[in-house]
Amino acid sequence: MESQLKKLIVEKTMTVSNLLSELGLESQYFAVLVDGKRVDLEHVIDASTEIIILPRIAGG
Amino acid sequence: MIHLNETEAFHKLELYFKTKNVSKLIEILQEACNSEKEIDFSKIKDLRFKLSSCVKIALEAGVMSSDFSNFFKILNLANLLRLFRIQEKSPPKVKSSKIFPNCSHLFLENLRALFQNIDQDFIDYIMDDVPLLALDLINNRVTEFTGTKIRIEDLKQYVENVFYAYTLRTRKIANFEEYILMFRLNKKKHDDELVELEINSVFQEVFSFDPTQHIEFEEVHVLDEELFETVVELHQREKVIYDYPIISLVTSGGVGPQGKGFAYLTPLDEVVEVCSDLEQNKAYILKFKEFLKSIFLTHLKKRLIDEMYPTSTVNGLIDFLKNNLQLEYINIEHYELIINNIKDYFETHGVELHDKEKFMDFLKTSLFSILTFVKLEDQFKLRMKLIREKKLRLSDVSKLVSLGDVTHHDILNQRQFFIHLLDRLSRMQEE
Repeated sequence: MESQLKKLIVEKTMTVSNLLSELGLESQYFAVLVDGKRVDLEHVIDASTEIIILPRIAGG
Repeated sequence: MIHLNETEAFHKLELYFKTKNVSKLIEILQEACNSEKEIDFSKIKDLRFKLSSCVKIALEAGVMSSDFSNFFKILNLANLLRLFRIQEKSPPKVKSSKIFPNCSHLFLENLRALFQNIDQDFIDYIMDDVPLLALDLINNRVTEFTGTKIRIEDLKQYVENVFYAYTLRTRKIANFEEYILMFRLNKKKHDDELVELEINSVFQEVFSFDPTQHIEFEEVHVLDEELFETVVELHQREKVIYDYPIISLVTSGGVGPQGKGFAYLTPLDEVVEVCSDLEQNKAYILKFKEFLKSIFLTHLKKRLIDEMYPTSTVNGLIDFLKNNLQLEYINIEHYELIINNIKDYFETHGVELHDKEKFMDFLKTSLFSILTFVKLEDQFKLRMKLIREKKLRLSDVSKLVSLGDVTHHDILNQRQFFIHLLDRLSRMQEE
């Protein structure tokens, strides 16, 4: 089920928070890596940014 | 951006230093970081001493509560604001990093991972002042069970073996070389994708009623063999890997509440497990399923509109599915029932499908995807697959597993920080 991957191009400059809202995702349930790093929700992204969004896995 | 008034900020800072109010101190330092007007902190008398008092309180609170967030927050903000600059005239210092060339590179990388842009003043503060704050705390405490004085080597052994913070437990499984040997000798097929490794080992719980007692543990690890060999090769080439590549998923006997965990390679050549909680994980999976459900309903609505079904049929079916797919109550066991309910709905409401077989196939596939049971092992396999496809890095997994805001990557970095700190303390005592 989880293997449904979608490639999206961010067409305008926006924050991680904006992107999650557009995708209908809540940040506490989805982990975001921007260029391999964790960033805060106000981090600005654009078309050149590599973003990975995956459902979180729970630590203990 | 905010505009922080310097006089007001100083007044607040002095108050929080005096009352040792760490939370409020963090707030005002954060405001200073966000302020568009630079604050000249060098005007504050004995700033370093006052800051150190609060750093020590935050560290002590961390030890008591297993929550070190304020300790790391103060250090981070003080570093960002360059508050550890030596202000007073003092004799020229020999740089700590030059005294201890063996540990400094690992520690420096660890500090970079925790605090990003660090300067020599900050490094000196960490190397010279923080160990003494820690020593003060250690000297004023006794072990809980035996009432004896805490020894630094015991504390280090504790942090290495069973470090616990933010309700996240860690366990050192083995040194990497030992782990590789166990893998070569004992690996067996788990399924078509993964291999399995049974580990029986012991560790010493130094802070217990009987500190000499060795505690046995038996764990089952599953690994992606190809990726494990990649880490082994990388390790042979690089010698030290700084970013905690994933090694295995612990499927039984692990440190999580249900015996689950994830094991990573640390820069100190250890394989360290961090716990995972299945109950919490269910909540994450449920949210993901709700996301899939919303995509499915949007797609279905578009398809129905494109195929010119009457609006009443479109809205009726979407509402019916929204109500019938309450994902907190249903799972794959309800799959047949849901499909039959949909068929009944079509019959009762006289819905004539244009291409019934194709349409039902679409519904069945989508619903199967939404309702299917997701195991922790499936999530692990997906991440391994993404790494093989180069869509994810070996080092990304630890950043994607978390409890609240604290990721496995954070806890591993903090664990390593305390190991280095205790090392530094041992060396200072030897001098």
